[in-house]
Amino acid sequence: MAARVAVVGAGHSAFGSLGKSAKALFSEAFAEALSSVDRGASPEAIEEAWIGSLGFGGFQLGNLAASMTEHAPAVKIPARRVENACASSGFAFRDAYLAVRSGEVDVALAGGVEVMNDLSEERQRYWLGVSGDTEWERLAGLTFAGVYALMAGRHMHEFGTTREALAAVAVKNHAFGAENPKAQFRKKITLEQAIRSPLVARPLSLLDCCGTTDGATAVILAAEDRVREFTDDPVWVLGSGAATDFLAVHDRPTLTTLDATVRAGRSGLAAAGLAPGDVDVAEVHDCFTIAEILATEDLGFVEKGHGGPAAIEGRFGPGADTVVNASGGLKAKGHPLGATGTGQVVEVWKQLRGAAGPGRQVPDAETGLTHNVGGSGATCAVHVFGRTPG
Amino acid sequence: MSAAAIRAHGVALPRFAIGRAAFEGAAAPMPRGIDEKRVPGFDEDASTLALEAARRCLSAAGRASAPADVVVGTSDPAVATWMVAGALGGPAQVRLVASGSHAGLEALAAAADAAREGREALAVATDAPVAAAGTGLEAGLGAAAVAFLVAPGDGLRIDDLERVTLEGPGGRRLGANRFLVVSPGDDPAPSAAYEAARRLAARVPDGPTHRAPQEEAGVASAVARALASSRAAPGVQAVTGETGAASAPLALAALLSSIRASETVLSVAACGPSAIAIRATATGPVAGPDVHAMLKRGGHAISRERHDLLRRYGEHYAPRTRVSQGAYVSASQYERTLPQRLRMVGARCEGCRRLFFPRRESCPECGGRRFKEAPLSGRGTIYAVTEIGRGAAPSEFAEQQQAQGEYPVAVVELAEGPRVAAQIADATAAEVPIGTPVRAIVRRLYEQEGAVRYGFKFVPDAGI
Repeated sequence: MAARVAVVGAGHSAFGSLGKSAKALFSEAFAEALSSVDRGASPEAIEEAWIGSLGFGGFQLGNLAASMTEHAPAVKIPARRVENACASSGFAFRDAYLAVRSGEVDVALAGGVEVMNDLSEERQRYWLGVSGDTEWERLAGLTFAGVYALMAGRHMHEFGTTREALAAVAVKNHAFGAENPKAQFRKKITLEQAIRSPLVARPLSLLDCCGTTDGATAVILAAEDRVREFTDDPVWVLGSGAATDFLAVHDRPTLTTLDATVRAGRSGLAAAGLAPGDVDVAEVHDCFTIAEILATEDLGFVEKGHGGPAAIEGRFGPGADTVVNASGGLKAKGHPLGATGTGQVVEVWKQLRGAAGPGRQVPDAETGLTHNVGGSGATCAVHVFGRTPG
Repeated sequence: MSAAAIRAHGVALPRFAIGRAAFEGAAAPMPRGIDEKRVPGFDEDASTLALEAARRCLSAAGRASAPADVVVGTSDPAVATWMVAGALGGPAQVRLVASGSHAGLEALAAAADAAREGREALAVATDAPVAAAGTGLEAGLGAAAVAFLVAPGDGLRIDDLERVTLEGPGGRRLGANRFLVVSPGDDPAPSAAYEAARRLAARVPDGPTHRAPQEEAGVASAVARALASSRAAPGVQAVTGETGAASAPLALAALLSSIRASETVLSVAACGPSAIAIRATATGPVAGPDVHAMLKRGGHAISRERHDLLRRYGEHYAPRTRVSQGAYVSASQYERTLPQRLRMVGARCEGCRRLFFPRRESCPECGGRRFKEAPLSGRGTIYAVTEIGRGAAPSEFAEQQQAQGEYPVAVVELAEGPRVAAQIADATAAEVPIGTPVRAIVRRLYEQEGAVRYGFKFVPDAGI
């Protein structure tokens, strides 16, 4: 029978434009993960590592995982880079989970790292937009923002979603980010500021878009029969779901649903034996405000097409049944591409242990969900967490 | 041998235009006689204009495909005949005559030769000349392309031709990037033109009814002296700027809507010591646009600053590295997709018949691995659209954005069903909301390692 798996420690570097190397950031996150373990843990406890990274800038495209573990330090353990664009560490987490669940590995490290800000503006521009279809999206003149802008325009056309709805997401997430000491952006913003910010790709303006971020995250997973060594307060992985979709948005039947989210969400929740309404705290992939609106619909928190009004009503803000992106999300906390997925796990781990911090702690959070998307939805990993093994 | 006649024509002009007022205070004003000129967009060049003129000509003639003989006349040896051939599709074989401003009429003469042997042929005159920044010459250089379908039968029948090459060096040649003055002495072009016109006119009892000469290098006034009894075709250069090899063909095309049955015309072009004169008679209708009406509609006005950026010079121009180091499409991969990029060739799964564009390695519906080529019409409607601002353009389009500002990108739903992402050219995002009919054209996409990559974009389909 497959072993149950728990998260027993989690580390998260500051996110922002940090002036530090990938090695330094990963090492920080790793150290914090070890010291976060209630009963303590040494590097020797980790048996195998999965590290998510796009390798932005091209500084270490080959053997990145070995470079990261060497400096962690976690030398000699089997390690590999996992790459699914912005869902890299979400999939690193899934792979680590599957390995522990299989019984082959007892204690695993899943993490991610990305440094995006040590490049010139021109070089950064080369590297943005590598996660869409190179031939048929990039060479049509699209990067990340353009693709999501196309989706936003369709969502407005099909459901009447407004720019106010998009702005409401940004306002909520920046308010949460202000309470998160690790966040890249720590200032609240107003609806007015969000709507008036300069257009990046119509209808998305600057404050609809996540920034470019450096950061690293690391999470320690343990098999059921080893959990006690580390903690009496584990956070159990109740389910893992993942899916892939057509890479280019124009090859999908619709631009207003991310099918990968729908499938990953359904299978993750089904594995956990739970429904969307059971989720108390969710970290979803809001690379752009429209992405959060789509996620709330595609994960089943709200009916398709109603994500806009729900955002305006504050249905996922403080005090809600399902609080979305209490960390500040990708929008305010930041989005170091490969590190984001396990960063979401770090937040849920804290929330379920009541350790998220006064400004953003969701009271009595019992069930959490992380939702990590690669690019415009070609890949998606969803994980469901609980305080009991289920 | 049959008579050869122009049966249809097509004209392509850049959309952007700039007036002489914009050059006030510049190092050199626009030359006298030019009030306005057409300026190629960042994604246009003599090759894209040639293709567009050819397609319009074929469309006016009701032809679904190009004839095997296609001759492109231009002063620019870098014109991408491979692109024009690839976009027109088989059986077109594109031959290049790249000699100077007289190359347009030379292409027409070559097409007439083929038609006399019983074959249809397409002559395309195209030029988008550029000279040294800050010179008066450069200030007056425009761009245009004109295509003629020449075939046996009636239309504007090509009757006679005269070529002259004067002795001695000298004269000017419009080059692709730099204007070359061969000798500081008198340009022999007017003399060569005069001589060619005189000799050709002498072979018919009455002079020609009309004259349609090249409007540059003093050729027009020399031809006026040689053919004093003929009627001058109303000029076009005043609003197009100098158009090199397209100049005389454009003057000829402009005459087509007003020339009457059995009237004759002499068209003359010259470059340096070489001149060519062609005499033609109106024996039947010629399909194609009213060029003067086209010109009257005017272009889309741009500023001096934008003009200089589009010409890739000036104080605001900063060449940027265009080769992406984050996303790289090899030359061979680009070539493999030319049927899609230039001709909108789709793929139909042989198993389940589902249609795809651009193309697939396997069918996501039935798993099949065999596909049949399915040429698509290039027509579609806007399904989704955005406008890419400064921060959101990939490096391949950074220069285009610098020169031309925000550009729209859409998901286009093709008439046959599949959808594809593409830039919208010649329109702002606001002008192409969801549902707007659009059609595919070929434009420059970007340059990689010195080679220009062409591919489809879409423009509003309001009819030609």
